[in-house]
Amino acid sequence: MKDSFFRSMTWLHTWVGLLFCWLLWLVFFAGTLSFFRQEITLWSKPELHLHNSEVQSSQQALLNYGFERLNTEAPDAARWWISLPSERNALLRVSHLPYPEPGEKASWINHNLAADSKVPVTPRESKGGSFFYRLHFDLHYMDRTTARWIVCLASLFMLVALISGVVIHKRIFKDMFQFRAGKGSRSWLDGHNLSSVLALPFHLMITYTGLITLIFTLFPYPAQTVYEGGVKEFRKEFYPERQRPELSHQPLTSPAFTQSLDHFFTNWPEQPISRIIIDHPRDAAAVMKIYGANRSEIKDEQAVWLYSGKTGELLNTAHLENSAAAQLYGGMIAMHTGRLASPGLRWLYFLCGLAGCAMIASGCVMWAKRLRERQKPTQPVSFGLKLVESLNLAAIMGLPLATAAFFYANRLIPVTNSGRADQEVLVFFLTWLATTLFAAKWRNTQGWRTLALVNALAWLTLPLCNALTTQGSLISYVSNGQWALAMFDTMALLAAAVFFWQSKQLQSTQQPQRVRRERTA
Amino acid sequence: MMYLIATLLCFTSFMAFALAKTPHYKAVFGTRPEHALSQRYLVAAWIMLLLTLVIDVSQAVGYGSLMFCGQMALSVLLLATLLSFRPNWMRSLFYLLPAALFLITVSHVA
Repeated sequence: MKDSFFRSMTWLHTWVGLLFCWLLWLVFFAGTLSFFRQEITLWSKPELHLHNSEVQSSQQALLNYGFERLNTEAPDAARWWISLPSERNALLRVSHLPYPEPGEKASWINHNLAADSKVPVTPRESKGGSFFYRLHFDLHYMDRTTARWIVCLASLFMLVALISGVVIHKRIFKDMFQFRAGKGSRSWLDGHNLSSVLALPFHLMITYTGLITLIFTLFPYPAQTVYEGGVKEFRKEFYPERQRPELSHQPLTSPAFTQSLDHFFTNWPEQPISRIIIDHPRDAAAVMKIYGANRSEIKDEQAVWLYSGKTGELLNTAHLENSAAAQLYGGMIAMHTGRLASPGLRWLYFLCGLAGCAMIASGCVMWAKRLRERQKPTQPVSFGLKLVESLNLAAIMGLPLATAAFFYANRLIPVTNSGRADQEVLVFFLTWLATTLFAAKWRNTQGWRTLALVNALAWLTLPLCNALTTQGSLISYVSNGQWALAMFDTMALLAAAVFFWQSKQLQSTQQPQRVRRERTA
Repeated sequence: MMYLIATLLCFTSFMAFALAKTPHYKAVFGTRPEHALSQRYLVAAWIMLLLTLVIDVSQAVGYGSLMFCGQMALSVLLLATLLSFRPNWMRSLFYLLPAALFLITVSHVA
């Protein structure tokens, strides 16, 4: 054990930080992008750009249309699903799931429609923002449970690093606004401190609530003790809407869906609906589930109303009035995901997320720089230091480059390719692999500079590539008021500017100066 | 609108925090502040910060506190950038910001 509290905290912060910094960088980076999950998905499906996002039709009219359509198209489906357009998604989606053939698995048949004109829209196959969302906690190319355990462990260590960091960088609150540029490792330390202190409440909140989102993986024991069937049984009670009714094999000739809807609209006139799911629409056991939209309330689970399809009466509700514990749990998850945020708060979330990225990146770089400075020029460089330097370069510069490559792939892979969504992901990882190989060989300032320039070029030409391959461009987005798309392009240009500035900084001195990695949506 | 007022107030508060520190005050105004002046800035900063929190929370408890965290982050980032690269801009802001805050508040109330 180290001889004093302060020194042991320093030791803890340094080594815990180093051990997980690259993984945390990935988690923070992907998480920050995920705040704009819907907007990135919108960008990656240019087929949707042509449709006006302001929906005139009322929710009731859209639902009636959906029911009519499903009635004629798939009366004998196992499930119906109608998703209503929202502020962040302009499409009406009408889907059904057929009963599976024996020995096979049925898959959903989706129809995306422009909400007002009901023109069918077929967006290209792409994961879009959901890729980053999944990458954020499921990683990729590995088993989900294992990945979540790894991410949990990393967040736990992040929490440790945050708290020990506050202890060891005692002066962070005193020198809150201090950033001394151009002073070598002093500047790095300033940048590290500044990016952590300015969003400290956010960092603590996001790390802690991140752990809470996976709490039933991490800590299933209370549920296992109280419920005989363990966590599964607990979920059954907590989420009644996730249960599917058993088939009764009695046909239902005149379902009471319309009566149920009327009942809902009379009793909860203020409640917007996000989607409706009907299980076994032509069976006497039919259940209609109405999911309410959450708006900006601090809660995660959507309120659900379950109606009987046969009689039309309200069978059950879920998450309408939560217990204090459920409210706390849901509230924490809502705070973590930021789905509740209106654009203003979402940008603040994004800013804080970037600060987190900058904090982690500057921490990684500082570790290597400190060690280098302590070494005599004649001393051979240890394998550990080489490894850390290469990994720093590969992670910090590689991830943004891979992200840009993912967006290029989205525009350049032919729309007709089958499995193109997976090809996009493959391009992402291949680019990252290439950067890693590059970083293994050239991990000096010149290597950093080259990758900064490549990044700058990639992000600079991304809006251009978008303008050439789609019908819109930054100019048309601004003049049509498509702000989500306009901001995407602007952020790409901003990223290019930051990377260019970084390459200038690296050129002006042989020592890498403070290098900020701003990220784009 | 109230959130905009709160954001400006938060920024003003952190500006006062920064000016309460001798090196920053010197970078902005060129002279050393007296101890009493620094103390007054500090008190004003705390009052404004608490007021920001009150405004945010009065809009919505949970949402407001999230906004509060975000506003603080934004303010500190902008101030640190200004103080590092363009400290003399702070001189104009020192007068402009309270004036803007006052005007917006009055127009909002009226």
